[in-house]
Amino acid sequence: MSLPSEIMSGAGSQTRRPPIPVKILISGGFGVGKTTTVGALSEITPLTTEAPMTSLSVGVDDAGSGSRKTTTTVAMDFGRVTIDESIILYMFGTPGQDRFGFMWNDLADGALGGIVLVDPSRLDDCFVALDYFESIHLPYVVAVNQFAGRPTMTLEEVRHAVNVDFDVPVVAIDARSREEVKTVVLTLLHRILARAKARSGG
Amino acid sequence: MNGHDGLDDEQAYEEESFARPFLGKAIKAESVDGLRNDVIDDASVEHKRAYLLTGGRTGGGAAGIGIETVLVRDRGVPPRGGLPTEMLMIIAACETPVAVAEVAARIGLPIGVVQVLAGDLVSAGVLLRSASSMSLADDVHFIERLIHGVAAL
Repeated sequence: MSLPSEIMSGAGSQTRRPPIPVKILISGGFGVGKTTTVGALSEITPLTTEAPMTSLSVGVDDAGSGSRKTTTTVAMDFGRVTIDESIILYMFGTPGQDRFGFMWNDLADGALGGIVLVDPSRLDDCFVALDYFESIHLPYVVAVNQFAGRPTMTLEEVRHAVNVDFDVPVVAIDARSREEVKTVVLTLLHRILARAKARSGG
Repeated sequence: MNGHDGLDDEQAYEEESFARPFLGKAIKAESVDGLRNDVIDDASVEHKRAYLLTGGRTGGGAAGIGIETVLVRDRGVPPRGGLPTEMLMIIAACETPVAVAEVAARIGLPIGVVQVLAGDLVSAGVLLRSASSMSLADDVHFIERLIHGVAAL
């Protein structure tokens, strides 16, 4: 079999496996700053794609038929951070408004951890994400987005209100700040590391 | 803020003449004998249904291709002739390592379709896929390397 020269020229350099993707989920209610968070750290402008999701449509769209399982399509923003030649970090901003009870299995499958963004003035919005991450035992941190000019709560007040385990970090974040987003991602990774060490008996 | 949480977009789709966004993407079904850059032409509209592209197959779990699975073209394996345009678009988008979600966003196909077609291309050896990071969640050394890398950003 003869190969075109264009293909020959690249042969060899690409026979290795592509970099390993590391997936973390950024979740929270509508308008809480997921895309901003993704964009603060991403090396590309956040991209949007549609992800199919199974949802429980509860009352809102159904006229009196009660709870019914439907498949819907939701927009999902994501960004990319190249860690080194063999690791790429992907951050997926995932919808989590309380209008739907999403089943995020496709999205969460293989995820290493999650960041739940919280708007202190709309605390309820984060409960869907919290519940889901807890139900699949995904390591996560709670990041309280600091919106200028909005009523704020202390981190202890937020912790009390969202009622997470004592070992779940609750931290403040300015979603626009690359350094702060980086710090929150590191907080999450240290939590993942602690769990890995505990499991390996170290 | 770009990209919302679905509700607005859903409404927008309903208002368009094509209910499903991926059907509105213009794809010209020619140039199937090789990789060419001019297969996408927004001016000519030929709608294809997603289930035709995948032969009716669904399921993101196909061949273990996740939304974050990184794909890259294996330059040592030229695609055979007669591949559908959508596959050629996927191959063309994978010149450098890129995740399935990114391929889908860049060429305007739904993730589920890209997952199925990319699975076929991986099986055919045309694309290489990344290993899963799932088993690495408990790999202390890997996590430490990741922390080191993020800290150095």
